[in-house]
Amino acid sequence: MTKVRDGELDSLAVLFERHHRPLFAYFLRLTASRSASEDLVQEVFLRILKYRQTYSSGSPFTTWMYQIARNAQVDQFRRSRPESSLDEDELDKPPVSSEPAADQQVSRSEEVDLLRRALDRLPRDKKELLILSRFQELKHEQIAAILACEVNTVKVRVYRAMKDLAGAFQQVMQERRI
Amino acid sequence: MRCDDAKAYFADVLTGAKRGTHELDSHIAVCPDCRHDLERMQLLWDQLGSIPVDEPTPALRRRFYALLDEAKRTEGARLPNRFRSWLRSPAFFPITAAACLLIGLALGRVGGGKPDTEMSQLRGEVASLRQIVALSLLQNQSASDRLRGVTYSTEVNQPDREVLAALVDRLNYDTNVNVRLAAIDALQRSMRDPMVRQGVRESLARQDSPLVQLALIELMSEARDPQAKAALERLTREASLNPAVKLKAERALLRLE
Repeated sequence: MTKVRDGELDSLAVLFERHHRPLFAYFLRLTASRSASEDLVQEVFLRILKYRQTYSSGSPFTTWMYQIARNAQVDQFRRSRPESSLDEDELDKPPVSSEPAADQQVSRSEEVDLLRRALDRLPRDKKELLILSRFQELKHEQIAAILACEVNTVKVRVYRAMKDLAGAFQQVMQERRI
Repeated sequence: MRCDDAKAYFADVLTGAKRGTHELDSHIAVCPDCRHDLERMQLLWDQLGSIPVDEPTPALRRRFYALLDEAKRTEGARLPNRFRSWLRSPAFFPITAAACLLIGLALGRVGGGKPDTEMSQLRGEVASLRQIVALSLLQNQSASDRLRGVTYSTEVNQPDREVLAALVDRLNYDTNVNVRLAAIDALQRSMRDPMVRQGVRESLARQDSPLVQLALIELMSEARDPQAKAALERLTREASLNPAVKLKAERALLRLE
Protein backbone atom coordinates (compact mmCIF):
# COMPACT_ATOMS: atom_id res chain seq x y z
CA MET A 1 0.00 0.00 0.00
CA THR A 2 2.93 2.28 0.64
CA LYS A 3 3.90 1.89 -3.04
CA VAL A 4 0.35 2.77 -4.14
CA ARG A 5 0.40 5.81 -1.89
CA ASP A 6 3.71 6.88 -3.43
CA GLY A 7 2.32 6.73 -6.95
CA GLU A 8 2.95 3.14 -8.08
CA LEU A 9 -0.66 2.50 -8.93
CA ASP A 10 0.06 -0.90 -10.49
CA SER A 11 0.68 -2.22 -6.98
CA LEU A 12 -3.02 -1.77 -6.28
CA ALA A 13 -3.63 -4.76 -8.56
CA VAL A 14 -1.66 -6.94 -6.10
CA LEU A 15 -3.87 -5.73 -3.23
CA PHE A 16 -6.99 -6.30 -5.31
CA GLU A 17 -6.01 -9.86 -6.17
CA ARG A 18 -5.25 -10.59 -2.51
CA HIS A 19 -8.30 -8.99 -0.92
CA HIS A 20 -11.20 -8.75 -3.35
CA ARG A 21 -12.62 -12.21 -2.59
CA PRO A 22 -12.67 -11.81 1.23
CA LEU A 23 -14.10 -8.31 0.78
CA PHE A 24 -16.81 -9.60 -1.54
CA ALA A 25 -17.65 -12.33 0.97
CA TYR A 26 -17.83 -9.74 3.77
CA PHE A 27 -20.27 -7.58 1.82
CA LEU A 28 -22.29 -10.53 0.54
CA ARG A 29 -22.84 -11.81 4.07
CA LEU A 30 -23.86 -8.35 5.19
CA THR A 31 -26.08 -7.36 2.29
CA ALA A 32 -27.18 -10.73 0.80
CA SER A 33 -26.95 -9.03 -2.60
CA ARG A 34 -24.34 -10.07 -5.17
CA SER A 35 -24.60 -6.95 -7.29
CA ALA A 36 -24.49 -4.62 -4.29
CA SER A 37 -21.47 -6.52 -2.94
CA GLU A 38 -19.56 -6.20 -6.22
CA ASP A 39 -20.40 -2.50 -6.35
CA LEU A 40 -19.12 -2.13 -2.79
CA VAL A 41 -15.83 -3.92 -3.53
CA GLN A 42 -15.33 -1.56 -6.47
CA GLU A 43 -16.21 1.38 -4.22
CA VAL A 44 -13.64 0.28 -1.64
CA PHE A 45 -10.83 0.20 -4.19
CA LEU A 46 -11.96 3.52 -5.59
CA ARG A 47 -11.78 5.01 -2.09
CA ILE A 48 -8.38 3.41 -1.50
CA LEU A 49 -7.13 5.24 -4.60
CA LYS A 50 -8.85 8.45 -3.63
CA TYR A 51 -7.67 8.53 -0.04
CA ARG A 52 -4.31 6.76 -0.49
CA GLN A 53 -2.43 9.75 0.86
CA THR A 54 -4.11 9.22 4.25
CA TYR A 55 -2.59 5.74 4.64
CA SER A 56 0.26 5.72 7.13
CA SER A 57 3.13 3.31 6.51
CA GLY A 58 3.20 1.59 9.89
CA SER A 59 -0.48 0.73 10.15
CA PRO A 60 -1.84 -2.64 8.99
CA PHE A 61 -3.44 -2.40 5.55
CA THR A 62 -6.22 -4.92 6.30
CA THR A 63 -7.51 -2.86 9.22
CA TRP A 64 -7.46 0.31 7.14
CA MET A 65 -9.22 -1.44 4.26
CA TYR A 66 -12.00 -2.77 6.49
CA GLN A 67 -12.52 0.69 7.97
CA ILE A 68 -13.05 1.95 4.42
CA ALA A 69 -15.26 -1.07 3.67
CA ARG A 70 -17.46 -0.38 6.70
CA ASN A 71 -17.86 3.28 5.78
CA ALA A 72 -18.70 2.36 2.18
CA GLN A 73 -21.29 -0.13 3.37
CA VAL A 74 -22.85 2.31 5.84
CA ASP A 75 -23.10 4.95 3.08
CA GLN A 76 -24.67 2.43 0.74
CA PHE A 77 -27.08 1.30 3.47
CA ARG A 78 -28.17 4.88 4.09
CA ARG A 79 -28.65 5.51 0.38
CA SER A 80 -30.73 2.41 -0.22
CA ARG A 81 -32.82 1.72 2.84
CA PRO A 82 -35.70 0.39 0.72
CA GLU A 83 -33.31 -2.29 -0.56
CA SER A 84 -32.54 -3.38 2.97
CA SER A 85 -36.21 -4.03 3.60
CA LEU A 86 -36.10 -6.29 0.55
CA ASP A 87 -33.35 -8.23 2.24
CA GLU A 88 -35.52 -8.61 5.31
CA ASP A 89 -38.31 -9.93 3.10
CA GLU A 90 -35.82 -12.39 1.73
CA LEU A 91 -35.12 -13.61 5.25
CA ASP A 92 -38.77 -14.33 5.86
CA LYS A 93 -38.92 -16.71 2.95
CA PRO A 94 -38.90 -20.35 3.97
CA PRO A 95 -35.49 -21.95 3.54
CA VAL A 96 -35.04 -23.71 0.23
CA SER A 97 -34.86 -27.18 1.71
CA SER A 98 -36.96 -26.78 4.83
CA GLU A 99 -39.57 -29.42 4.15
CA PRO A 100 -39.54 -31.65 7.21
CA ALA A 101 -38.17 -35.09 6.57
CA ALA A 102 -40.14 -38.09 7.76
CA ASP A 103 -37.82 -38.73 10.64
CA GLN A 104 -37.47 -35.02 11.51
CA GLN A 105 -33.73 -35.27 11.10
CA VAL A 106 -32.02 -32.06 9.98
CA SER A 107 -29.74 -32.70 7.02
CA ARG A 108 -26.47 -30.85 6.74
CA SER A 109 -27.66 -28.55 3.97
CA GLU A 110 -30.80 -27.76 5.97
CA GLU A 111 -28.68 -27.01 8.97
CA VAL A 112 -26.63 -24.55 6.93
CA ASP A 113 -29.82 -22.86 5.71
CA LEU A 114 -31.18 -22.60 9.24
CA LEU A 115 -27.91 -21.28 10.55
CA ARG A 116 -27.82 -18.66 7.80
CA ARG A 117 -31.35 -17.60 8.73
CA ALA A 118 -30.40 -17.43 12.39
CA LEU A 119 -27.39 -15.25 11.54
CA ASP A 120 -29.57 -12.96 9.46
CA ARG A 121 -31.92 -12.51 12.39
CA LEU A 122 -29.20 -10.96 14.52
CA PRO A 123 -29.09 -7.18 14.89
CA ARG A 124 -26.83 -5.63 12.26
CA ASP A 125 -23.96 -4.78 14.64
CA LYS A 126 -23.81 -8.30 16.08
CA LYS A 127 -23.99 -9.91 12.66
CA GLU A 128 -21.17 -7.69 11.42
CA LEU A 129 -19.06 -8.54 14.45
CA LEU A 130 -19.45 -12.27 13.85
CA ILE A 131 -18.67 -11.82 10.14
CA LEU A 132 -15.47 -9.98 10.97
CA SER A 133 -14.44 -12.47 13.63
CA ARG A 134 -15.60 -15.82 12.26
CA PHE A 135 -15.62 -15.40 8.49
CA GLN A 136 -13.02 -12.73 7.85
CA GLU A 137 -10.90 -14.28 10.61
CA LEU A 138 -9.73 -10.95 11.94
CA LYS A 139 -8.07 -10.82 15.34
CA HIS A 140 -9.83 -9.12 18.22
CA GLU A 141 -7.21 -6.38 18.13
CA GLN A 142 -7.92 -5.71 14.44
CA ILE A 143 -11.68 -5.65 15.04
CA ALA A 144 -11.17 -3.26 17.94
CA ALA A 145 -9.22 -0.94 15.63
CA ILE A 146 -11.90 -1.17 12.93
CA LEU A 147 -14.78 -0.55 15.34
CA ALA A 148 -12.79 1.98 17.38
CA CYS A 149 -13.35 0.27 20.72
CA GLU A 150 -11.40 -1.67 23.37
CA VAL A 151 -10.24 -5.22 22.72
CA ASN A 152 -12.11 -6.46 25.81
CA THR A 153 -15.28 -4.83 24.50
CA VAL A 154 -14.89 -6.84 21.29
CA LYS A 155 -14.52 -10.06 23.27
CA VAL A 156 -17.64 -9.37 25.32
CA ARG A 157 -19.59 -8.44 22.18
CA VAL A 158 -18.47 -11.63 20.40
CA TYR A 159 -19.67 -13.66 23.37
CA ARG A 160 -23.03 -11.87 23.40
CA ALA A 161 -23.44 -12.18 19.63
CA MET A 162 -22.75 -15.92 19.84
CA LYS A 163 -25.22 -16.28 22.68
CA ASP A 164 -27.87 -14.47 20.62
CA LEU A 165 -27.02 -16.60 17.61
CA ALA A 166 -27.51 -19.75 19.66
CA GLY A 167 -30.93 -18.45 20.72
CA ALA A 168 -31.88 -17.50 17.15
CA PHE A 169 -30.72 -20.89 15.85
CA GLN A 170 -32.85 -22.68 18.42
CA GLN A 171 -35.80 -20.55 17.40
CA VAL A 172 -35.50 -21.32 13.66
CA MET A 173 -35.10 -25.01 14.48
CA GLN A 174 -38.34 -24.93 16.46
CA GLU A 175 -40.13 -23.07 13.66
CA ARG A 176 -38.99 -25.73 11.23
CA ARG A 177 -40.47 -28.49 13.37
CA ILE A 178 -43.89 -26.77 13.58
CA MET B 1 -13.60 -17.95 39.17
CA ARG B 2 -17.15 -16.69 38.76
CA CYS B 3 -19.33 -17.45 35.72
CA ASP B 4 -19.05 -13.84 34.42
CA ASP B 5 -15.25 -14.01 34.63
CA ALA B 6 -15.23 -17.33 32.78
CA LYS B 7 -17.40 -15.97 29.95
CA ALA B 8 -14.92 -13.19 29.33
CA TYR B 9 -12.57 -15.90 27.99
CA PHE B 10 -15.11 -17.57 25.70
CA ALA B 11 -14.39 -15.37 22.66
CA ASP B 12 -10.67 -16.15 22.96
CA VAL B 13 -11.39 -19.88 23.19
CA LEU B 14 -13.71 -19.75 20.15
CA THR B 15 -11.28 -17.89 17.92
CA GLY B 16 -8.39 -20.01 19.09
CA ALA B 17 -6.60 -16.90 20.28
CA LYS B 18 -6.13 -18.54 23.65
CA ARG B 19 -6.60 -22.02 25.05
CA GLY B 20 -8.63 -22.24 28.21
CA THR B 21 -6.66 -21.15 31.23
CA HIS B 22 -6.24 -23.43 34.20
CA GLU B 23 -8.77 -21.31 36.09
CA LEU B 24 -11.29 -21.52 33.25
CA ASP B 25 -10.83 -25.27 32.94
CA SER B 26 -11.37 -25.66 36.67
CA HIS B 27 -14.51 -23.56 36.53
CA ILE B 28 -15.90 -25.40 33.49
CA ALA B 29 -15.30 -28.69 35.27
CA VAL B 30 -17.55 -27.71 38.14
CA CYS B 31 -20.10 -25.42 36.42
CA PRO B 32 -22.48 -27.31 34.12
CA ASP B 33 -24.13 -24.08 32.86
CA CYS B 34 -20.87 -22.58 31.62
CA ARG B 35 -19.74 -25.93 30.21
CA HIS B 36 -23.02 -26.27 28.31
CA ASP B 37 -22.76 -22.65 27.09
CA LEU B 38 -19.21 -23.05 25.83
CA GLU B 39 -19.87 -26.41 24.18
CA ARG B 40 -22.94 -25.08 22.40
CA MET B 41 -21.07 -21.99 21.22
CA GLN B 42 -18.09 -24.03 20.08
CA LEU B 43 -20.38 -26.28 18.04
CA LEU B 44 -22.17 -23.30 16.52
CA TRP B 45 -18.85 -21.57 15.79
CA ASP B 46 -17.67 -24.63 13.89
CA GLN B 47 -20.98 -24.93 12.03
CA LEU B 48 -20.71 -21.29 10.91
CA GLY B 49 -17.65 -22.30 8.95
CA SER B 50 -19.80 -24.56 6.78
CA ILE B 51 -21.88 -21.67 5.43
CA PRO B 52 -20.62 -21.32 1.86
CA VAL B 53 -20.13 -18.01 0.12
CA ASP B 54 -20.36 -17.30 -3.59
CA GLU B 55 -17.47 -16.11 -5.71
CA PRO B 56 -17.66 -12.70 -7.40
CA THR B 57 -18.34 -12.65 -11.13
CA PRO B 58 -15.48 -11.95 -13.61
CA ALA B 59 -17.11 -8.56 -14.20
CA LEU B 60 -15.73 -7.37 -10.87
CA ARG B 61 -12.15 -7.94 -11.99
CA ARG B 62 -12.83 -6.26 -15.35
CA ARG B 63 -14.35 -3.24 -13.63
CA PHE B 64 -11.42 -2.97 -11.24
CA TYR B 65 -8.81 -3.05 -14.00
CA ALA B 66 -10.78 -0.46 -15.99
CA LEU B 67 -10.77 1.71 -12.87
CA LEU B 68 -7.04 1.18 -12.42
CA ASP B 69 -6.29 2.02 -16.07
CA GLU B 70 -8.35 5.16 -15.80
CA ALA B 71 -6.58 6.17 -12.60
CA LYS B 72 -3.18 5.56 -14.21
CA ARG B 73 -4.16 7.59 -17.27
CA THR B 74 -5.20 10.50 -15.06
CA GLU B 75 -2.11 10.13 -12.89
CA GLY B 76 0.21 9.57 -15.85
CA ALA B 77 -1.13 12.70 -17.51
CA ARG B 78 0.16 14.65 -14.55
CA LEU B 79 3.68 13.27 -14.26
CA PRO B 80 5.38 10.05 -15.39
CA ASN B 81 6.76 7.63 -12.81
CA ARG B 82 10.37 8.61 -13.37
CA PHE B 83 9.51 12.24 -12.64
CA ARG B 84 7.47 11.41 -9.57
CA SER B 85 10.29 9.40 -8.05
CA TRP B 86 12.72 12.15 -9.02
CA LEU B 87 10.56 14.78 -7.34
CA ARG B 88 10.52 12.67 -4.18
CA SER B 89 14.24 12.03 -4.18
CA PRO B 90 16.39 13.89 -1.64
CA ALA B 91 18.60 15.19 -4.45
CA PHE B 92 15.71 17.04 -6.10
CA PHE B 93 15.85 20.33 -4.22
CA PRO B 94 19.63 20.97 -4.19
CA ILE B 95 20.04 19.97 -7.85
CA THR B 96 17.04 21.99 -8.95
CA ALA B 97 18.31 25.00 -7.00
CA ALA B 98 21.75 24.66 -8.64
CA ALA B 99 20.17 24.28 -12.08
CA CYS B 100 18.02 27.40 -11.53
CA LEU B 101 21.11 29.33 -10.46
CA LEU B 102 23.07 28.25 -13.54
CA ILE B 103 20.17 29.06 -15.86
CA GLY B 104 19.83 32.45 -14.18
CA LEU B 105 23.55 33.15 -14.61
CA ALA B 106 23.47 32.03 -18.23
CA LEU B 107 20.45 34.19 -19.01
CA GLY B 108 22.11 37.10 -17.24
CA ARG B 109 25.27 36.67 -19.34
CA VAL B 110 23.31 36.41 -22.56
CA GLY B 111 21.49 39.57 -21.45
CA GLY B 112 19.31 40.82 -24.23
CA GLY B 113 19.76 37.72 -26.38
CA LYS B 114 17.54 37.44 -29.42
CA PRO B 115 14.03 36.11 -28.74
CA ASP B 116 14.52 33.52 -31.51
CA THR B 117 17.46 31.99 -29.65
CA GLU B 118 15.42 31.72 -26.46
CA MET B 119 12.52 30.17 -28.34
CA SER B 120 14.70 27.57 -29.99
CA GLN B 121 16.29 26.80 -26.63
CA LEU B 122 12.83 26.39 -25.12
CA ARG B 123 11.76 24.13 -27.97
CA GLY B 124 14.84 22.03 -27.42
CA GLU B 125 14.02 21.69 -23.74
CA VAL B 126 10.41 20.68 -24.49
CA ALA B 127 11.62 18.08 -27.01
CA SER B 128 14.08 16.73 -24.48
CA LEU B 129 11.31 16.54 -21.87
CA ARG B 130 9.07 14.64 -24.30
CA GLN B 131 11.84 12.14 -24.95
CA ILE B 132 12.25 11.53 -21.21
CA VAL B 133 8.52 11.03 -20.82
CA ALA B 134 8.42 8.68 -23.82
CA LEU B 135 11.34 6.64 -22.46
CA SER B 136 9.74 6.41 -19.06
CA LEU B 137 6.41 5.23 -20.50
CA LEU B 138 8.08 2.73 -22.83
CA GLN B 139 9.52 0.97 -19.81
CA ASN B 140 6.22 0.81 -17.97
CA GLN B 141 4.62 -2.50 -16.95
CA SER B 142 1.25 -1.54 -18.37
CA ALA B 143 0.76 -2.16 -22.10
CA SER B 144 -1.50 0.90 -22.40
CA ASP B 145 1.26 3.04 -20.91
CA ARG B 146 3.82 1.60 -23.31
CA LEU B 147 1.46 2.39 -26.18
CA ARG B 148 1.24 5.95 -24.92
CA GLY B 149 5.03 6.00 -24.73
CA VAL B 150 5.25 5.03 -28.42
CA THR B 151 2.75 7.76 -29.31
CA TYR B 152 4.68 10.27 -27.22
CA SER B 153 7.89 9.38 -29.06
CA THR B 154 6.25 10.32 -32.38
CA GLU B 155 5.64 13.84 -31.04
CA VAL B 156 9.40 14.41 -30.89
CA ASN B 157 10.71 15.87 -34.15
CA GLN B 158 14.03 14.09 -34.07
CA PRO B 159 14.04 11.32 -31.50
CA ASP B 160 17.50 10.65 -30.05
CA ARG B 161 19.36 7.32 -30.16
CA GLU B 162 18.06 6.29 -26.76
CA VAL B 163 14.42 6.68 -27.79
CA LEU B 164 15.03 4.90 -31.12
CA ALA B 165 16.79 2.04 -29.32
CA ALA B 166 13.86 1.80 -26.88
CA LEU B 167 11.41 1.61 -29.78
CA VAL B 168 13.45 -1.14 -31.47
CA ASP B 169 13.57 -2.91 -28.12
CA ARG B 170 9.74 -2.73 -27.81
CA LEU B 171 9.47 -4.03 -31.39
CA ASN B 172 11.65 -7.01 -30.56
CA TYR B 173 10.55 -7.93 -27.09
CA ASP B 174 7.16 -6.47 -26.21
CA THR B 175 4.67 -9.17 -25.32
CA ASN B 176 1.79 -7.06 -26.63
CA VAL B 177 1.24 -7.15 -30.41
CA ASN B 178 -0.38 -3.70 -30.42
CA VAL B 179 2.72 -2.15 -28.84
CA ARG B 180 4.94 -3.86 -31.43
CA LEU B 181 2.73 -2.60 -34.28
CA ALA B 182 2.74 0.92 -32.85
CA ALA B 183 6.55 0.76 -32.56
CA ILE B 184 6.76 -0.13 -36.27
CA ASP B 185 4.65 2.92 -37.14
CA ALA B 186 6.80 5.11 -34.92
CA LEU B 187 10.04 3.83 -36.47
CA GLN B 188 8.84 4.43 -40.02
CA ARG B 189 10.08 8.03 -40.17
CA SER B 190 13.49 7.06 -38.80
CA MET B 191 14.25 4.39 -41.40
CA ARG B 192 17.12 6.46 -42.74
CA ASP B 193 18.98 5.77 -39.52
CA PRO B 194 21.26 2.70 -40.09
CA MET B 195 20.68 1.52 -36.52
CA VAL B 196 16.91 1.48 -37.03
CA ARG B 197 17.23 -0.26 -40.42
CA GLN B 198 19.39 -2.95 -38.89
CA GLY B 199 17.04 -3.31 -35.90
CA VAL B 200 14.04 -3.72 -38.20
CA ARG B 201 15.85 -6.29 -40.37
CA GLU B 202 16.90 -8.36 -37.37
CA SER B 203 13.48 -8.09 -35.82
CA LEU B 204 11.77 -9.90 -38.69
CA ALA B 205 13.20 -13.25 -37.62
CA ARG B 206 12.01 -12.75 -34.03
CA GLN B 207 8.35 -12.13 -34.83
CA ASP B 208 5.72 -14.82 -34.59
CA SER B 209 2.65 -12.68 -35.24
CA PRO B 210 1.68 -12.52 -38.96
CA LEU B 211 0.32 -8.99 -38.37
CA VAL B 212 3.69 -7.78 -37.13
CA GLN B 213 5.50 -9.67 -39.90
CA LEU B 214 3.29 -8.02 -42.55
CA ALA B 215 3.87 -4.55 -41.06
CA LEU B 216 7.66 -5.12 -40.94
CA ILE B 217 7.78 -6.30 -44.55
CA GLU B 218 5.78 -3.24 -45.60
CA LEU B 219 8.17 -1.02 -43.66
CA MET B 220 11.29 -2.53 -45.26
CA SER B 221 9.72 -2.44 -48.69
CA GLU B 222 8.73 1.24 -48.33
CA ALA B 223 12.20 2.12 -47.08
CA ARG B 224 13.73 0.34 -50.09
CA ASP B 225 16.37 -1.16 -47.89
CA PRO B 226 18.50 -3.42 -50.18
CA GLN B 227 20.02 -5.19 -47.19
CA ALA B 228 16.54 -6.38 -46.22
CA LYS B 229 16.58 -8.93 -49.04
CA ALA B 230 18.51 -11.52 -47.05
CA ALA B 231 16.08 -11.27 -44.12
CA LEU B 232 13.10 -11.56 -46.44
CA GLU B 233 14.55 -14.55 -48.29
CA ARG B 234 15.18 -16.33 -45.00
CA LEU B 235 11.58 -15.64 -43.99
CA THR B 236 10.12 -17.04 -47.21
CA ARG B 237 12.02 -20.29 -46.63
CA GLU B 238 10.21 -20.91 -43.32
CA ALA B 239 7.93 -23.91 -43.70
CA SER B 240 5.30 -22.77 -41.21
CA LEU B 241 5.03 -19.24 -42.61
CA ASN B 242 1.57 -17.77 -43.01
CA PRO B 243 0.68 -17.80 -46.79
CA ALA B 244 -0.30 -14.10 -46.75
CA VAL B 245 3.02 -13.20 -45.16
CA LYS B 246 4.89 -15.32 -47.69
CA LEU B 247 3.14 -13.62 -50.60
CA LYS B 248 3.85 -10.18 -49.15
CA ALA B 249 7.52 -11.05 -48.62
CA GLU B 250 7.89 -12.34 -52.19
CA ARG B 251 6.35 -9.14 -53.56
CA ALA B 252 8.65 -7.05 -51.38
CA LEU B 253 11.63 -9.00 -52.70
CA LEU B 254 10.58 -8.25 -56.29
CA ARG B 255 10.28 -4.58 -55.40
CA LEU B 256 13.73 -4.53 -53.87
CA GLU B 257 15.32 -6.20 -56.91
